[in-house]
Amino acid sequence: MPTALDFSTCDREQIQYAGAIQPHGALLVLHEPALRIVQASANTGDYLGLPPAALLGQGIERLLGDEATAALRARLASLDLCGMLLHLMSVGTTARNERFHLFGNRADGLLLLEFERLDEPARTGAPDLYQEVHSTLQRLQAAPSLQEFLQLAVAEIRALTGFDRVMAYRFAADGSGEVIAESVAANRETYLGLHYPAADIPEPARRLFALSWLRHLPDVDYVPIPLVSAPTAQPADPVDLSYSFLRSVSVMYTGYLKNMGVKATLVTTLLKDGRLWGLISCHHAAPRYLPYETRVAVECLAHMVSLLMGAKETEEHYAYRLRLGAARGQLLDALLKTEACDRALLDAGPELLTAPHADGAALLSEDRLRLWGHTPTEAEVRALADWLATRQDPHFVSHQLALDYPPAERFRAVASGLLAVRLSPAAPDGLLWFRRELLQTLHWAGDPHKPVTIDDHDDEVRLLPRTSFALWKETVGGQAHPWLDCEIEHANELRQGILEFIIGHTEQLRRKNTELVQSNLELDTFAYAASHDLKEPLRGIHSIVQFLQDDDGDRLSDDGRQRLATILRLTHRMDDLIESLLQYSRVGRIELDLQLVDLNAVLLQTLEDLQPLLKKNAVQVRVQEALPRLQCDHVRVAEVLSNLISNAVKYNDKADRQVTIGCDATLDPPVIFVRDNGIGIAPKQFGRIFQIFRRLHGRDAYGGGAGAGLTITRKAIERHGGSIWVESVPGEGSTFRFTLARPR
Amino acid sequence: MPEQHSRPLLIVEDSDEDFALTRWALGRAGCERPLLRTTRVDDTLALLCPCALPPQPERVRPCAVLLDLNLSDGTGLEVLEALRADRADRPLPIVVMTTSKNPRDIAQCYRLGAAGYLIKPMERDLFAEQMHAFVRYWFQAVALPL
Repeated sequence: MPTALDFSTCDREQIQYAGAIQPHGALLVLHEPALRIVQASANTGDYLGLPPAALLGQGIERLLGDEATAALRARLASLDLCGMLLHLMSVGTTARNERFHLFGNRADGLLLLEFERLDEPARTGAPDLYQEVHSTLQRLQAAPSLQEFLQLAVAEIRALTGFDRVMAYRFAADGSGEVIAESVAANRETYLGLHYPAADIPEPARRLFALSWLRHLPDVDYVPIPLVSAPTAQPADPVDLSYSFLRSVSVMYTGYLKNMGVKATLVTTLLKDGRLWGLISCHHAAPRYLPYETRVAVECLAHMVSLLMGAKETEEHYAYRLRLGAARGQLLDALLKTEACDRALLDAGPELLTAPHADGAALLSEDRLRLWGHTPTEAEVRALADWLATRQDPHFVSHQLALDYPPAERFRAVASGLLAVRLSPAAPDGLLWFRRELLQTLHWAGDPHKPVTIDDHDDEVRLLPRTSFALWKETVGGQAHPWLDCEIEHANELRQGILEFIIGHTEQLRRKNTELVQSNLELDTFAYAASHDLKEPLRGIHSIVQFLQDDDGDRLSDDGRQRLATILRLTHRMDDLIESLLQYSRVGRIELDLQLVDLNAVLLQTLEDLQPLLKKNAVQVRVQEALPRLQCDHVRVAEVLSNLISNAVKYNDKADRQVTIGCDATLDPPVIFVRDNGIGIAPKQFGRIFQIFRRLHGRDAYGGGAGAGLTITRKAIERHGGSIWVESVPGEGSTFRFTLARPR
Repeated sequence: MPEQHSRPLLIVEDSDEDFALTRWALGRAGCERPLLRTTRVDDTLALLCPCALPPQPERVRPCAVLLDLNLSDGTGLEVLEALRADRADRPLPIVVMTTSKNPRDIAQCYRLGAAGYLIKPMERDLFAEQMHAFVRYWFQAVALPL
């Protein structure tokens, strides 16, 4: 036995060519159609009464007599026997007064006949046995879950066989296995929940398990009985004993059993849809031979368990699918009832989000991240989402995340498994489900930290189940339970549903937006027409009052003349207001004439237009940084600059009035500013200054004005997608900053 | 050229008050030409574009037009537009006179062939000055087409 803990050599051992059998029966190899014996197990003398020397080269009638041979020939003629070992008949022999079960199998053009003693007590008890099997089946059918079903099956098989440990063992896709149900004598340690690496039951053994329903090793300490040929014959090719019941087993297997203190085993196969799903393995601490009759009952039970198990598993799977579907339905329903997608998902609660048996979940939406359950840290999840966003595929499935994404090694305990769907082609937005590392979530049998038991007596490493478990732990580090097809399907359908919602929602928004634009346009058109029409009578009033002043002023009292003057002042004011309204509605109504504009040129022109104002107030204008070239409507931008600069001059009571214009081009979009050393604005007024016709000061203070300048300015800026805001210290000055594009 | 001086000026203006004010301002500016007045798009076109209608020989063709944009049945822009082809044959200076400061209106009027664009100020005396400038330019400084 190798000292390195590596079983892979076992994968190459061809145990079907053992060339030997166990001693609880005898084997003959015959040529057809003559039924001439070409090989015999060395124990035929003891077992059948005729030694190999007496049988080799002879016809089978030498052993069975003519009558039984004729019956055998008739039976063989009607049977195929390839790929199976079949009970043919029970026979006596010419040399002994004993009865044997006779089994047949054809392989490589040879006929294999196996003899096993007939067990009279077992035969007579058979009717009771079948009664028992029947009631067992009824109870199995009623089991509510796969787990309980298997638990019941192992208990029944233990009762039937009298073995002291019966385990149901399930293979994972990678060939590793887990003890998922166990019935064990009260004084024995439990193996329930233990995992075994794939190497523990090597590939050749798994293949042979799939070929026959039942394997039996009555005594692990047996001495193998070799097959012998006639000394004169040419060395025969090894006989394929794949289907032989008596076939000698691998020394690896017996070594393994000896280490566990097991003396006898019985293994039946659990098949699902024709494929090896698992095993029912029976162990006994003393040698134990199970006669054919009982074995048939166990085999029958194993058949039934296989059939029912498939249905149970499908049923359980179906119920799980239904649960996933219900969770999905609830989430999508919640979406329909809300305005915002992420809101609905956030409110959904962990039980809906972790429905696909996830330990944790994360939702990333418009840069907001929400975590549920066991997840990596926020920073780790964000980095992971960014990495996912670099991939073409909007879906990602892994149960060994660190293999695809090495940084996941750091958080493999919480997230070895990842199922993720992206919700946006442009952003890392998406839903992520995490599964903890398998080792963290196991149901441990006994103390998992108990050291590996190694007995180095004779320089031989003896493996105990715990040792296997330790080995298995090494092979599954960094792995989570793989995601099931229905879970992946769930994620994809949820993604589909959410995308449909988002698209529908976007469409709705677009429609509302169009309507809003339309109604805004109508409002602006209305305001424009109305204010235009208002101007005309106003001019009439104004000129008539002036004529009245001229022609009849002398005849009026001082009060009367004063009142006429007031009317004139009010008509002026009203004209200003109407003009502002016109401008404001115009800014909202007209199409922007967007071109790449050099703002320096616009500023230069604006300053020139404002020259009289600047000169009159002796304003010192400083352009701090060169302005950028931007995509904008230069007329509107000139209005914006003109308005901000005249405000900077108007709302200023300093002797040396200063206006500074500049730009922070390192920002995207660039931020342009106009700064003054004027009277400043109290922070609580920041919002009000942009409201139309709202003046913070007396009507005629600071040069008067309609109070629409900043409103129009803001509208012009917003039409560009930009925004304007103000910073100010009352008494020291204000800085207006604005952008001319949408934030990026 | 007495005949030249007797050709009327057409004022297209739907507000009586504004028309009175304009007449007053023109008088103060020393303009003695006869004034014609229309108030709508359709009667203006009927006057200026006889080709489209039965001939009206009693009407004298004006030497220039002062055109308000805001009319009861449409806008001055429509008048400019409709007369475009006609003016190619018989040139006629049309000066727009309006309260609208809208840069777009200004651009559009020139585009349609307006000879000038006056923004009516609210203040009567400023308006009078504007009219004075108009008279000096069109009736004294430049030669009008026949």
